[in-house]
Amino acid sequence: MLSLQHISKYYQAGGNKTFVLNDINLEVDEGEFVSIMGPSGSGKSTLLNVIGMLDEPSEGYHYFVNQPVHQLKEKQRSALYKQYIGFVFQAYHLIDELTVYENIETPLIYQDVKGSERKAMVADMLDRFQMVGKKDLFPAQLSGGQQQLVGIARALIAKPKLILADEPTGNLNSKQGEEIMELFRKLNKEDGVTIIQVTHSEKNAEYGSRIINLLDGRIESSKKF
Amino acid sequence: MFKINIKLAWRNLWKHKSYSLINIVGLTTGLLACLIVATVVIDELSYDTNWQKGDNIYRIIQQNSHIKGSKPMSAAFSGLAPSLKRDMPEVTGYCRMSVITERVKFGLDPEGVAVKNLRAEPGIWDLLDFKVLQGDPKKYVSGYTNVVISRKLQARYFNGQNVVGKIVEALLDFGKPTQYLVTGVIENIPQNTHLRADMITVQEYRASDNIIPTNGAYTFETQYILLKSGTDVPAFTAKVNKWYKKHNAPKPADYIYQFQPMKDIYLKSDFGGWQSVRGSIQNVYIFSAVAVLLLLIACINFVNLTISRVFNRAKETGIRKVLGAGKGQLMLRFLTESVLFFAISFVIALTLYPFLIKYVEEFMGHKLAINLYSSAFLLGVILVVLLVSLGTGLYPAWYLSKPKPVVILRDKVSSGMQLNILKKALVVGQFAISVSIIIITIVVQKQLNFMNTKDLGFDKNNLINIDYNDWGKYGQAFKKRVKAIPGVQNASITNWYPSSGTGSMSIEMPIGKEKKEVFFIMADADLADVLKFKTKSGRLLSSANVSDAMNADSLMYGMSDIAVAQKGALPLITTQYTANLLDLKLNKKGDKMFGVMVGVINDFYSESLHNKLKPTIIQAISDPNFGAMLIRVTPGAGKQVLSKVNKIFKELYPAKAFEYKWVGDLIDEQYKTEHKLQQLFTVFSVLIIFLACLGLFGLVTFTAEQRIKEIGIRKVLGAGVPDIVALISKDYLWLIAIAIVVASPVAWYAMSKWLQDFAYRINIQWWMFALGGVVAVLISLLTISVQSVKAAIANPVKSLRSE
Repeated sequence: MLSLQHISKYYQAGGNKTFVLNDINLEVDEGEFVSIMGPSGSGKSTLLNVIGMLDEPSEGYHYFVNQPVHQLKEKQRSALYKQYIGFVFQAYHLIDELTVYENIETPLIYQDVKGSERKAMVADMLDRFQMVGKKDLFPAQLSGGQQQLVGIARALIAKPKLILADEPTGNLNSKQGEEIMELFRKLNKEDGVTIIQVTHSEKNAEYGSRIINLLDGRIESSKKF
Repeated sequence: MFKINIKLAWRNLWKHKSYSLINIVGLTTGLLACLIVATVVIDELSYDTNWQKGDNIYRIIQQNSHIKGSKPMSAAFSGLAPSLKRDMPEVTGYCRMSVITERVKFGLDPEGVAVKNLRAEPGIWDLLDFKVLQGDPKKYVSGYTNVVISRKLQARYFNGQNVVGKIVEALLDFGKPTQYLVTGVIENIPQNTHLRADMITVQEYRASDNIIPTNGAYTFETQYILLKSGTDVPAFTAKVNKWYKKHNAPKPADYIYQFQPMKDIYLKSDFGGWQSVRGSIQNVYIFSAVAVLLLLIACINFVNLTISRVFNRAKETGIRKVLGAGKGQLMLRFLTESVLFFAISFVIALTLYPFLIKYVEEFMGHKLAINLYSSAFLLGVILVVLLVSLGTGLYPAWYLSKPKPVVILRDKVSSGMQLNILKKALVVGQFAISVSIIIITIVVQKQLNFMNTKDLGFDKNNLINIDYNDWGKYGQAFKKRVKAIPGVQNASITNWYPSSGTGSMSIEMPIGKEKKEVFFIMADADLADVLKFKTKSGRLLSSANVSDAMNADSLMYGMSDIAVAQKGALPLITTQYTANLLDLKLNKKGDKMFGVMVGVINDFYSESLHNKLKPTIIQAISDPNFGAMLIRVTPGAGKQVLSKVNKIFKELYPAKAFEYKWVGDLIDEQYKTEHKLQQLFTVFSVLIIFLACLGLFGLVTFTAEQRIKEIGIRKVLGAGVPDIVALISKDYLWLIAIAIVVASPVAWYAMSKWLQDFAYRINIQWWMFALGGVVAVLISLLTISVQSVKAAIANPVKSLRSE
């Protein structure tokens, strides 16, 4: 599904290069559930952002569904991730001004899905997450776990092939966290969605089929279960 | 998408109430001011543009070519227009006409009612088109002055009944009441003409008025001619001047002529001569500029406040981009918000507009012929507002949709506290405008004050003036009885009173190589005492001295008799300036001078302070039967004196209206334009400062919000409230200081131009700029401190607590 070859990202500070990512090589196949771990500052989030095309590496080759991302223009990249990728964030990043319904609907608007179709899709999603009763509430009126559910629902609405999750349970208590992880596992197993998550927690990492450990911008270890 | 954008914009508006309120109040103020000024400006520009033949109607402008510095006059020799019609094939019609106020006995009041009368001759129908409702006024009925009244007068005084063929009586200032024959009713004459009137009187002129006299005794009339369409006006003008030169031979041509297009008359008439309805193109420019500035400031506020929120909205922008929004889609979303703000403000402005336009009409002194609700205008305005809102929204929309999606993934908001350069420039621009306006207001105020308090050479207080009147044979009797009223110190019948002009007539006198006009004031011998002139040398004229005064009757024969009197040794008094200018010696008959100067008095300003001192000579008339009466009363006695004067007046002149004014008010009226300008500038400066401060308030609010963490840390490290206030205020005070530097030369330039209109004026002084600057700094400091103090006293524990 995606392939990173010799990916580096660094900042020029005086004469020195400070590496955030240093010569990363990574292949992820469709249907995998990858957990990225590592201490603070090891480059986990940056790696995830590079995969998600939100951030550009300083050098290296990046292929996604057989397209050379490093050669694409901004617009094409955007079209690519719009079609294939859904994001889930630690801080949920819901739009405060929008209701639950509208938050979930938003990606569809940007993909030019027709109004009636949108309605049906959002209704399905609300049903699936058992949030029909909450559809007119604003994010501030929900608990953290509920907000993250909305965040996941929003990420799934456009039927992505890949979900990128940056510490999805970081702001949740353990029970809520478990629920979210169960949901991920189900998505991965039943719907075949590829998932890449960044996490601090060994326990959460074990939901995945592969754990990658980062240290100082390098892949220190990678083990499959 | 559009519907969703509107819904979101609306929701956002309610969510950030203070931000929305600041924006809406600011934009509403700017738009409303703009709407009102636009109405006034369009109305001003519409004057005399609706006459069918208007493009071919010209007013004759006459200028004395041999007196240095003489102003063009909008009046010319009475016989000129008829002569041009006879001799020039280009001239197809003419009319001598002007608007005066007359008392006509409509209704029951024996004093009649004052009506604006367009006094004209039958030629008027060739030039101007009026909608005739009744009668056939174009057919002249000789033997009477024909009068055509407006529908308004018909409705008010005749209940709308047919009045054609009726006789009404006019009470003229001079002579006996005259009978007018009503020959028709016309639709009301529109307000937007300099010939604004409620009735038209038509009278044929005598044949002797239709030629240019050769004896030097001219009467002047405002005259209009109709040219064949397609006439080359410059060529025609040259032709007329050549023609006049030939006509005047062998003497050199003493006058030159110009022809002023009808549509220029209202706004571009900086001429001598009577024209009561007069605008000023300069004011049109000033008002348009101020209105545009107001809107500009409002828009700057909008831009500044909107882009200040970029950091609050960066998160939303980022998320939306992650969710697949393109830059165009995001810009559209923010643009929708801008347009919504403008739309709401515009609707509020439209609602307030009718209430305010009433005051504007009151201020202007007449109804506006145009208003916003005339469809084409409204449509144009909506279009302009839409364009302005798009134009204003474009930059913020671009700016707000700029953040890359990755910003939301990073915790820190980079350099949020710095004002960007554009924002700084906008704040400087705004305050430069405010400071200029404050300085201008100060200078205008100072000049008005100067004119108000300047010693005019006579005592304008406690002085009553009864306007020009035909006293007939009761003049002296009336004066005697008035003088006997307790509280009256003295009274004088005079043909000049303060603000009435330069004197009753003038002659040209050679001074050095040039010719100069010398003005004459004719009054009874009491004038000098009534006005409290001071004697510098010699004596004043005295009624006890029989030889001091000429007989009033001799004045009736016009200039030539004055010349006779000049040859004699009639005593006269003059001002110091005149005596020096003409080199007059006390009690000696000058070589080029008529009469003997028996006294020199202090200089006095016969005209407004726009004009320089004029050489003026005062002579006495023994028993004047025309003229105004000046009454000097003891302070505080005015009211009771007036009621007694009124009683005597009614007794002697039962058919006349008693019309008086305080001389102080007459003097003020000379500066009516300036007073209005001052009032306007005061309103504008308050508005502009208000808007600028509103914007500043908004900016500081956001700065304080964004720096809340920094402020918290500084407080924890020991900074006091004053330190924090200084920290926030410093950036803005710098900008305002720059604004003062930018504004000062602009204001200085504008004001030195404006002051050139006054012969006597104040000097622009440094402290005016300093004061303007200090006012701006104080007001803005006040505005800033409201928010910065709030930020400074907030508990740092709250702001530093992480989520």
